[in-house]
Amino acid sequence: MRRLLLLTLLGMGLYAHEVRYVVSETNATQIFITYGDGAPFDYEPYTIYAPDQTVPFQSGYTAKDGSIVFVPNSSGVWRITAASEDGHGATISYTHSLSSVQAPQTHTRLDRLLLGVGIVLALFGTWALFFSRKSK
Amino acid sequence: MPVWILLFFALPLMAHEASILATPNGMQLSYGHTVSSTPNHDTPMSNLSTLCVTDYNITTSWQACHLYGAAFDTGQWVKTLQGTRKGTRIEHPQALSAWESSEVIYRYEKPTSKVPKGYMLLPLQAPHSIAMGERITLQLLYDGKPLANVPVAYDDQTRGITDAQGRINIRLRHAGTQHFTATHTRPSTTPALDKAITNITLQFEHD
Repeated sequence: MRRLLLLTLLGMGLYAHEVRYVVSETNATQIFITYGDGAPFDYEPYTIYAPDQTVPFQSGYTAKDGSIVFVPNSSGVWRITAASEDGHGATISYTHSLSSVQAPQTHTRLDRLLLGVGIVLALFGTWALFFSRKSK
Repeated sequence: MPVWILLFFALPLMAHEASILATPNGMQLSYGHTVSSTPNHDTPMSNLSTLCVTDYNITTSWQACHLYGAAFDTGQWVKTLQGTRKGTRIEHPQALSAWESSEVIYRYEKPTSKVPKGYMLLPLQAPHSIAMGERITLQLLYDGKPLANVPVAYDDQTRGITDAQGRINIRLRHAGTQHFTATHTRPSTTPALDKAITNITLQFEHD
């Protein structure tokens, strides 16, 4: 189960040039890249290739802390390249398995409340069925 | 409620590496990546000077040297939100930082009593006498004076910083070409730049 929570679904009206978006929380892979002294490799370009693909899956610039975050959608060897114009760079091979990442089970108070109500109703239904047959 | 599962990887970068290579045509200066899997970029060298230290003098011609040396500039750079770019704050007034970089490299062949001026990463023992797995003591000097608190890397990984005498002990971990690089950062004398960074490399072969 990869999608855990759908927090917000906002649909804008059907206007020209509209842009819709969905905010979700999901599993992700985060890679930190640093210079040799540990300083972050910040604001530098990177490209990510999915397994056996030649068209980039994602590209952009590293964050202030030198990190890259992406959400792999297939198993296999992902390739990430990051390089700066002054000659620093790295090519990273990362093997991802979709089944290896399990989401933690999280329950909201509403989940627990509904579960409790369900149990009570099931017990009541069983009790009612039992006594209705007995009275006949 | 935290529901992101993040797989963390922390990876160091490869940088351009200066080397003095022994070839059938004599010693040759190389500057680039030695790891084939690393993206390659061409960074021009400028203001190149060479040095040859023998037992009795220091010249510029690379022939039968005890210590082969080279120094060159690798440019002026700025950090922007769209990556590192060539130039200074004059061309990039919104730059996050600006610096100039240079390289100094020495290839050690034989002991010598002469210490060249400028930057020097000096082995305090004869490198070839140190067994694999033992530590070598290096001393970082500028015009003969020690430089303290300077990070020193072995095989592109920082192993520590120099002490008050400019010294650092580093364990030899493999045979073959040994690369030690100190990175000295100081304020730039160029107004449109924040700092000047010099990599000082000591290289030698070990059986």
